[in-house]
Amino acid sequence: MATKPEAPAEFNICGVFVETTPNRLQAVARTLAETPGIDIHQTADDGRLVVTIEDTPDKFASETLTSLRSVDGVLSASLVYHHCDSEAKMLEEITS
Amino acid sequence: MNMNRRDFVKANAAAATAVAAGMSLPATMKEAKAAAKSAGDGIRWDKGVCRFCGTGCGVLVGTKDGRVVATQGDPDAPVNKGLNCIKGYFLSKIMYGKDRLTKPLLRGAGGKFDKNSDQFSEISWDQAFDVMAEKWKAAIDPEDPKGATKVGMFGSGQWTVWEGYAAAKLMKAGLRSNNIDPNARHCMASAVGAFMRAFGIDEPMGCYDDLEHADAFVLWGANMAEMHPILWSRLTNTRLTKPGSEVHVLSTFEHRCFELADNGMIFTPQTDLAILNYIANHIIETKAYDKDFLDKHVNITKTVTDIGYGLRPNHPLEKKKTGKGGKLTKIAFEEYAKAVSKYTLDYTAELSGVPKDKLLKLAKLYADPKKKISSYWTMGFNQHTRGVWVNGLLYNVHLLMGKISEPGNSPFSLTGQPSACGTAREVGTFAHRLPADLVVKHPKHRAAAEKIWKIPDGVIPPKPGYHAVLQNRMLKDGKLNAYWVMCTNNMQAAPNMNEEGLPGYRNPKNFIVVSDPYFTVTAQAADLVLPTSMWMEKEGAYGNAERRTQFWRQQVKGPGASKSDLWQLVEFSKRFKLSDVWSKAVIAKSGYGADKSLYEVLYANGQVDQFPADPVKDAAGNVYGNDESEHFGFYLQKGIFEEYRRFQFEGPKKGHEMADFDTYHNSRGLRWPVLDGKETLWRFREGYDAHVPKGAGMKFYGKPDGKANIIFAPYEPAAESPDKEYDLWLSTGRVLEHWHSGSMTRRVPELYRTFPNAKIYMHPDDAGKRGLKRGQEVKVQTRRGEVLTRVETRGRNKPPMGLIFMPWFDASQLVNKLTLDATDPLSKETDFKKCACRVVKA
Amino acid sequence: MKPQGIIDGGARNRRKFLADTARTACSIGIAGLALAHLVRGAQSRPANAVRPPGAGADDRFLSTCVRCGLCVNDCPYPTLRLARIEDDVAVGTPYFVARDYPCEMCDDIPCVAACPTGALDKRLTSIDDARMGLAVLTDKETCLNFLGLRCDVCYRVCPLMGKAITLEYRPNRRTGEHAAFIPTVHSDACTGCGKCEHACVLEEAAIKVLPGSIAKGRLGSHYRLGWQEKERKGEALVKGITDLPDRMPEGRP
Repeated sequence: MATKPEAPAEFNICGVFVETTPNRLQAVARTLAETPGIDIHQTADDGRLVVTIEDTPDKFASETLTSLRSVDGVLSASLVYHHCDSEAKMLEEITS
Repeated sequence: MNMNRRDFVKANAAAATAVAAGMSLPATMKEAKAAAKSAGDGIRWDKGVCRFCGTGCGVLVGTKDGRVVATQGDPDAPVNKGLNCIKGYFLSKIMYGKDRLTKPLLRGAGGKFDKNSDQFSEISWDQAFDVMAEKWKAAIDPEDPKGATKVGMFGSGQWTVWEGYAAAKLMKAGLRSNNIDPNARHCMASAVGAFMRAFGIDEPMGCYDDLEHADAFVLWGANMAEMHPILWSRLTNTRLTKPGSEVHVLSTFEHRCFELADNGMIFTPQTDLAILNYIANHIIETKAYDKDFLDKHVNITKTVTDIGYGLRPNHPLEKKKTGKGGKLTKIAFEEYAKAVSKYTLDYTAELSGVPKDKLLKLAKLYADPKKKISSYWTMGFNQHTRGVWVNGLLYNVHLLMGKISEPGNSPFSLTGQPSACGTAREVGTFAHRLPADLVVKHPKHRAAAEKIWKIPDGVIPPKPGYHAVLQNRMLKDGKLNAYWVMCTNNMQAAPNMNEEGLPGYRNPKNFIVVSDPYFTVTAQAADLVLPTSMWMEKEGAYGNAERRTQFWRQQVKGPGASKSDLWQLVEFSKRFKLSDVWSKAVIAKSGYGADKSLYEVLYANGQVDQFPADPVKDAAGNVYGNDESEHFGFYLQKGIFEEYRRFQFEGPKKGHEMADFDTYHNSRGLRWPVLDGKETLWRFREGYDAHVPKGAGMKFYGKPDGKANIIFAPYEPAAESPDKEYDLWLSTGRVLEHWHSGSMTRRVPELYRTFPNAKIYMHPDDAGKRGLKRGQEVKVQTRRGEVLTRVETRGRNKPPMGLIFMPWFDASQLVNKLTLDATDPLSKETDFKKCACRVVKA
Repeated sequence: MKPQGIIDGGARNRRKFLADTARTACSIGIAGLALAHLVRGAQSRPANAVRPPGAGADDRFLSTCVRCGLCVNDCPYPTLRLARIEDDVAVGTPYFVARDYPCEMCDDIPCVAACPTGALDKRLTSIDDARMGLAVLTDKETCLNFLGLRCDVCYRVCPLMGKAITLEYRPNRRTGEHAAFIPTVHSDACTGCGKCEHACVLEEAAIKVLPGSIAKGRLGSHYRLGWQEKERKGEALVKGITDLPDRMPEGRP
């Protein structure tokens, strides 16, 4: 009998620029790849990584982002892009 | 290439980050765009009919890869010429709700039936029919001379023609039970009753062409602007383009039709009875009536009065009544004139609350012999404890003036369901009817049906079965025990759900089966839920409000194990031997063996199975599936339709003739009677209707003497009116966006968004008096229950002080917990428009 | 009367994200290149970002709004949101996107009541007088009613139906039998609540709420509409003008 308008659950996706040193790039990439919610899109040999972080059932993307500082070898993690939308909308099929 | 938004956003996020970091762009997005452009169309188009209202708009259905991917209004369909309303615009989405049922579901864990369980488990069709047959057989005593009164079925004006026919035949000729009734009982029964009483034959004499021919339109309890949107656009066009045309609108609250109205009238509920008698009185007093027409074509009668309100017999209102039934007595014109003379302008204005000048304007319109008038009505007239009366009172006015059965002069009953006419009414799915206007209580009619059906006399029980509201009462009382609800959502739709609906479904003595594409409120209350293939997932035929029969081919397969209603009915008949259902004496008379199955007697009977299961093709050579042909091995739909046609040509009543099966697949629908390859647009008038002999001019051939009946009936009050405790009228109804209890339209996201939840429309001063603000949560209470909703003081409906309107499409706000199960004692149709309620803060 | 607890889930989610992000920024130091990118657009806003009732022109509003968020807090629906750094709207200011959640036009205008500075104008006492923006039927080629279909959803959801949006009847020349019902927005009544844009059933709405400054044309001050001027005055503007009867055949009027 609920008639109140309800805000649907939201879903966050961030584009994050991660910097490390060239010699630790492989190790950092491995750690990030194993972290739930993180996808690596690009790496450069000089130690730069482009990753996306999204919400997981346990953690908001922001929490995952915060936790990056404790990853060995990460010099900086910069939030470049953030998108937040309803979960339902995220599952919509689109033809691009 | 398809992707979901999440992937899209991620690709964007990565791209933006890469740019910021001075790195190269990932390639995914560019590729996706190129792929999308190269995709071809490849859609196959075929003709179909809209799934929603009784207008019967023609549509073209686009199929690709086994899925309906698009629809369009059929530009060549005479009704709509390529147009649709917003529901029709979304037709392609109604079959693809995420929660389509794909397997039979039995109440109880692990496939074991448990009436008290709150869970369902998936079972096979075999298991489902095993359980059903066991319950049905336990409820049937083959030797009972009254037939199988403990089994029943509730059907639908959304059934295809053959589904309704197969159901009526299974119940009446097979199981020997007349306890089959369609949801059209809630919708059209009063119109049917009045057609039979006035003309002796069902359905309107005119057609939609009247919308262009009329000079004036009068709406009596029909909100066409929302409920028949395409017909309303035709009416509007005539109003705009024809000089001198007028629109008069009567309702108990202001709705969207008032915007076009030249004369808008809000009347106190139930006083439409008085207004119509006032118009008759005005016509007689001013001597405007057509004396010649009356002498030649009309009998004048009066009906029994003070007939109660169709409640349970122990209800105080039923004990008070002094009359019973609908017997007509012939009276002289003078007596009729005297009877209506009480309804003066002053009296009627006082009673109805309509200003005198407006009433007079309306009466003068009807009395003007030069004005061609089309009158329309829907639920305002039909859902009325005096529904048959009030329908008849309008016929009185048209008959007094002779304004009937010719282009533009048309009293026209609109229908709410796509095949309320074609199926529910025409093939005999009502508890008292047989195909083609025949009735069970007439021995000659039963004999004709038994002959065509090749069954011995005495199989069809002579007593009408339980009608819709009575079925719920009998379920509650434990006298109806095996019950099948098909293609309708009656738990949500029927009145007084708390007291009369749910108790019967949950009565431990009863076994309730519900067939539906979706898990509706009714399905949730069932013991067995059968997954149903719908609309374009089967071959079908609907008949619209203007007697137009329209066919479509099966376009796609239903999901999972879902089966059409037709398949379910015919397949279930295999579970019965004659010895399970007929008495030994009847079987002996039949010449059939006691072990013969009902399937062999009713469907594989040498008649219904006479057409081979050849592939169905259109003119372009496209081949279509037919799941029933494939399963049963013969063209079941064609066999049924051709057997049904025998009733039209060999039965005791003429006037329902249709063309042969194949003709309909090649046409955009034909209006019956179809004789000598021609449609009939206006019935009963020479030249237009082949049944009227040359020189007769007019003939109401539904009646033995060829004359229609004027039937006097007085104003009598509603069953329940507002009082101190419950101080408001409650009227329920629909909105344009949602149809059929919302089970399909609420699953289309765009339609859901436009009108997600029901609310009450209330006069701002009524809200203010109760300290309520717009948007506030409130309880609506009646003597029968309460519902939580919100207040709307703006918007499409503007009730007067003292009345609220609430739509019933919303499964989360079941307004029928509030309504009263008072019915028209003649038509047995519920009055959903009038009961007393109050509104308090939640 | 305000229904309580409606801003839950989503809003809490958003706030948490903002707080977390701020913490991240402090603790690990967001690179300068990203920040510069994020703060752009503080002075402008996208056309689909609509200000709450009583906000008025953006320059006045931005100079008086203290970004306290109380209006967002008191909005009983999920409509109003506070701009985040990545939103292209001045950070911390209230706005809504009609396609997501339109303004429900509460009778008591709780957002205006909550405003501590008058950035949302307290003189706005009837929600019907609000001018958040103006609905514009931006695409007649896809609007179903222009095509002759019977949608008119925008009209029926309009809280000022019949005033802010009316249906103008026009014969459908293609069918010759039907009328087309043309939704027509009237700027003298439209509050810009966005119910029409929200409810439009098309995949991309054909009716949109735009800032009044973008949406509205202006007639040149050198020209007046003769029929309006005459109606306003109640008589012809120039008096004493006569006409001679036309010569007609005998017996004809």
